[in-house]
Amino acid sequence: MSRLIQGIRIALLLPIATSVFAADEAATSAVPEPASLLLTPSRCVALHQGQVCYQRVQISWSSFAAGNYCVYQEATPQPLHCWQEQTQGTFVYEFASDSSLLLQLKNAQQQVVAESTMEVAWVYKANTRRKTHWRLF
Amino acid sequence: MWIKRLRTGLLPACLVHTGILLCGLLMGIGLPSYAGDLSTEVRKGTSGPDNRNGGYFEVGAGIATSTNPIVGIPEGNEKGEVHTEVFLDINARYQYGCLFGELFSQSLEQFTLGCNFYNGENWSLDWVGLTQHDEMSEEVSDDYRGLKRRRDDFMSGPRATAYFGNYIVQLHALTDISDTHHGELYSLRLARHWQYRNWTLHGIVGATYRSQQIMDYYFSIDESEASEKYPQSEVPAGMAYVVELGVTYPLSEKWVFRSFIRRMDLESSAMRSPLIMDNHGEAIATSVSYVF
Repeated sequence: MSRLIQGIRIALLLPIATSVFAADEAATSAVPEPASLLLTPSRCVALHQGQVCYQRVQISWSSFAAGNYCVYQEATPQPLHCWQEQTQGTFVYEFASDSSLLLQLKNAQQQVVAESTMEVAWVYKANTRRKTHWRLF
Repeated sequence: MWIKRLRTGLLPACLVHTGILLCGLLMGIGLPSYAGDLSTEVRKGTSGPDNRNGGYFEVGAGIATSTNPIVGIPEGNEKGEVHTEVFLDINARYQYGCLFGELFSQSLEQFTLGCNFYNGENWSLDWVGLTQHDEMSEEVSDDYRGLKRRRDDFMSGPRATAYFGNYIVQLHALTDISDTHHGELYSLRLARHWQYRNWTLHGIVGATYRSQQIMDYYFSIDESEASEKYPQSEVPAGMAYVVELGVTYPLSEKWVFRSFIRRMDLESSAMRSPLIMDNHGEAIATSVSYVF
């Protein structure tokens, strides 16, 4: 019985200890605060490859630390949306692209704290253009 | 043959009728396949020839409402009568080398066999063969009782398809090679597609010329078969026209929604035949298909 109680104590304490060590590690390496970026939906389906795909996407993010955050489209200097001194945020984004795009949540130091990909899929592959030619078989 | 197909349930009566009679006989639209069937290509928003080896297959279900000006299709058909039916929607194409076969339930064409022998940057040339007109006999419809059997045909000839941006133009020149009526059929169609968000909208206009032999074989009533119901008549060569508007939407990577409305008009001379009750027909269809 005593061994069982001892086992339960260890099981209960282990996650706490693990999270403490993780927090120490994060602080010492200056890694951006944990955050998440969620796209709903995260997939846009076009009729055929190469066609621009349109999708209204709800972008939701959250972070453990309050701060200034912006959502960016990868390789685009202008943010899609920004928040001041928040730990979470939501906004609706009108996605329009013929290929998949990476969206990133950045903090005030322009560090990427979370990212998520908006995927573009299609039903039909793009036609393959052949060079001009005659053929019999 | 189309009617048989209809009865076996392979293709929807409404669409078969539309494809064959309205699109085929009336519209003269029932021609060959394309570098991809025109109806298929424009629904995909295609902007160039696609002649890769291999193929694809889609199957689904739909519902169609139509009117048909031809007597006997379906059996007991009356002028302006509206027919609503559920149909099996099939869209398939396979190509190996120059040879291909294609079938699309909602097409203006029937099952088409062909050989693609030229591909340019914006156009392609095929040789195609297909049934253009279905059998009309008492075996397929009691309405034809007392009439001579009119066999289904098989026509063959060149098909040229050109792509100009969002436009597709297609020409057919077909000759009967089945020793049925020895007639000729020529058609010209223009299709265009637009994109609105993830919807692909399309429009098709077309004209088909049918020679005297074709119209006479299927729609004239000769002295030997004339009756009170079907008096003797002679139908000249004539034109038929089609207009179609439709939409296609990808529900997912595997499911596609389609809908269209189509109208076909016949030259008034066609109504000299007691087998043609009206100078126009319409069809509206909606379907959902699974893409393999």
